[in-house]
Amino acid sequence: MDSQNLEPGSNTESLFIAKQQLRVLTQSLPSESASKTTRPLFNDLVYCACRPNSVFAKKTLGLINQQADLAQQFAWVLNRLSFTQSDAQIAASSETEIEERSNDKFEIRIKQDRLMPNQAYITLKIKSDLPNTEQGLYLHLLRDNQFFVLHFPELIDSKTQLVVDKDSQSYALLCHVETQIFIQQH
Amino acid sequence: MNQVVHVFIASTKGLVAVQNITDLNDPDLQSVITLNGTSDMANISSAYHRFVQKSTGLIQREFGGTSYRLNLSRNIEQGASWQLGVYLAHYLSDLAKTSLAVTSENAKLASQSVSLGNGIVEQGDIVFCVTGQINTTDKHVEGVTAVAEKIIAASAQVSQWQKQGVLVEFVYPEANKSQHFPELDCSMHRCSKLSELIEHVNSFLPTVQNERPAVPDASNQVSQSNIYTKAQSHNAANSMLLGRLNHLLRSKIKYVLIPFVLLLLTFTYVQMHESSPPASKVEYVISKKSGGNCDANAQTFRLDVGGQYVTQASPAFLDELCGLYLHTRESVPQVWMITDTKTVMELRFLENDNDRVWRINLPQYQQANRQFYLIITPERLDLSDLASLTDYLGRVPSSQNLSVEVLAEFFTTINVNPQYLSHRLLVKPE
Repeated sequence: MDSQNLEPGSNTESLFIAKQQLRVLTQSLPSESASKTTRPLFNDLVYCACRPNSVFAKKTLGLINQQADLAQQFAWVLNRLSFTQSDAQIAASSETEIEERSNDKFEIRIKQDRLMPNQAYITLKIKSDLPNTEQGLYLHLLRDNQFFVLHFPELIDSKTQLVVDKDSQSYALLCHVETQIFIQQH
Repeated sequence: MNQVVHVFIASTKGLVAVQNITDLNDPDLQSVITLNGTSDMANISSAYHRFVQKSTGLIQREFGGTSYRLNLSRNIEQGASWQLGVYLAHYLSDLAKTSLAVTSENAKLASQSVSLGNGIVEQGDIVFCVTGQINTTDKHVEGVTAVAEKIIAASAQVSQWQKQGVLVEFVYPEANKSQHFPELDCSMHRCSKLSELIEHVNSFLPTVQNERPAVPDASNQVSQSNIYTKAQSHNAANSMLLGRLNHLLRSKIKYVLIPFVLLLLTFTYVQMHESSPPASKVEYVISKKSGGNCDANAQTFRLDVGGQYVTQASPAFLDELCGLYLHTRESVPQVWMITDTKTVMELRFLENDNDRVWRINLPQYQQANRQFYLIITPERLDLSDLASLTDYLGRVPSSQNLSVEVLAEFFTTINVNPQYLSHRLLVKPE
């Protein structure tokens, strides 16, 4: 419609149409009410994998952790999108805690803090070239169909590091042999 | 005596304390900044790692070590103006380790120790509020933005410290000198090079050791108390004796001397514990100019030193002082003053109700930093004691600075256990 040919009364009509379109657009965006009532779409899973720190992704992850089939789908998405992954480890003994895991692309080490006994350093080394790591990396941790995500700061000399509390969920998951790890670029 | 020096990073949201620095001593770990000792990392943590690394920064180059963990009291979200404060904190932390290592070698030098404060400021401490960025190649201090906002954000805290009698200084880059800043209730210092900053900071500290051990022990920590406990005071008095014991133990005749020395130590220990506690009321009063004048509006700062064997008053600028006084009960018979030139003089007092007010003369020569010691004795010493002390001080090598330990050695020999109060008077930098 050419706006120059509109009658005076048609301004109100065009405002009404614009408002209606805005409402449609707004409703199509993921929102709190939508995520509560709607099952996450495939796009939501992808968004959750790529931007796990966003509010929407955190809510989606909550839904994923409540439904086993969604968790399986999310694991499939992560498998496709992640830079590398580490499956559950095979323990040589009855020990369920490990302080190191690696493959040809990465190495994770857990080092106890000598001065703060309740804290540990988690170092992540990427063995191959990985561009655009200024924003850091995400580690998606999966155990018993429950996902947990950790953000590592930017890589310096292919290494990045976190300090974690030893009584935290992230520490327990990182140390556990059965935890599956997906490393995802920011 | 231990001088506690705090470093605060001036930010637009207020002062952020550097609480402590630990050498992680592990080449596999990156340097990290955490908040209040928790696992929360500061936003500038990665930048700090680069600032430490030999290839991209200067902390490793200047102070050695592999990687460090530094604790801040609050998050610093962005920017690089934290660098100057962090550098100063590393310098002081390194100095503390060095003085501790030297101290363990020779107990006589215990008086020279400096420690990095944890951000909880107490009377007698020194506080540096710092903002500035460092060119890690030429070690020049580069200008930063929002200095005025940082001064405003620091203002209330600085005024509070000043009221407590804490020596506070705000340090900022020379490159910002043309800017107009709001007034701050403390001395302001500009610097253009790191070497200038260190020289300036050293002028506030007890004599810095020239001889540094090659590899200071990173695992040791320096006590952050600036006032000795009674037990520490006893240790100070015995420090020379312990030094000699250490030497003797290494010598060939140790088997003969060990029983004798142990007996001597036991005797000294018992004797000191039997001595009377310090006088209950002793108050050190510092009168400072207000508006540049010594008039009725002069500010008065009181330091309660009753019950303390050894006290170090917060350093003060000479040109800000109006007068120094010591208030005691009339039961205190005598106060001696010993200057940094090793001159001994007996102070005079005025009676005020049941108290005595001892007036301390300000030094006539005020072109250099000065220091004096007050000796508050529980009993009156006579002229022969004064002569003995003068003779003893005359035999102290001119290269050796006076310290409480040096004085304590003399008073141990004459079987007197006085209270010691030391005060450094500084020339304000131009």
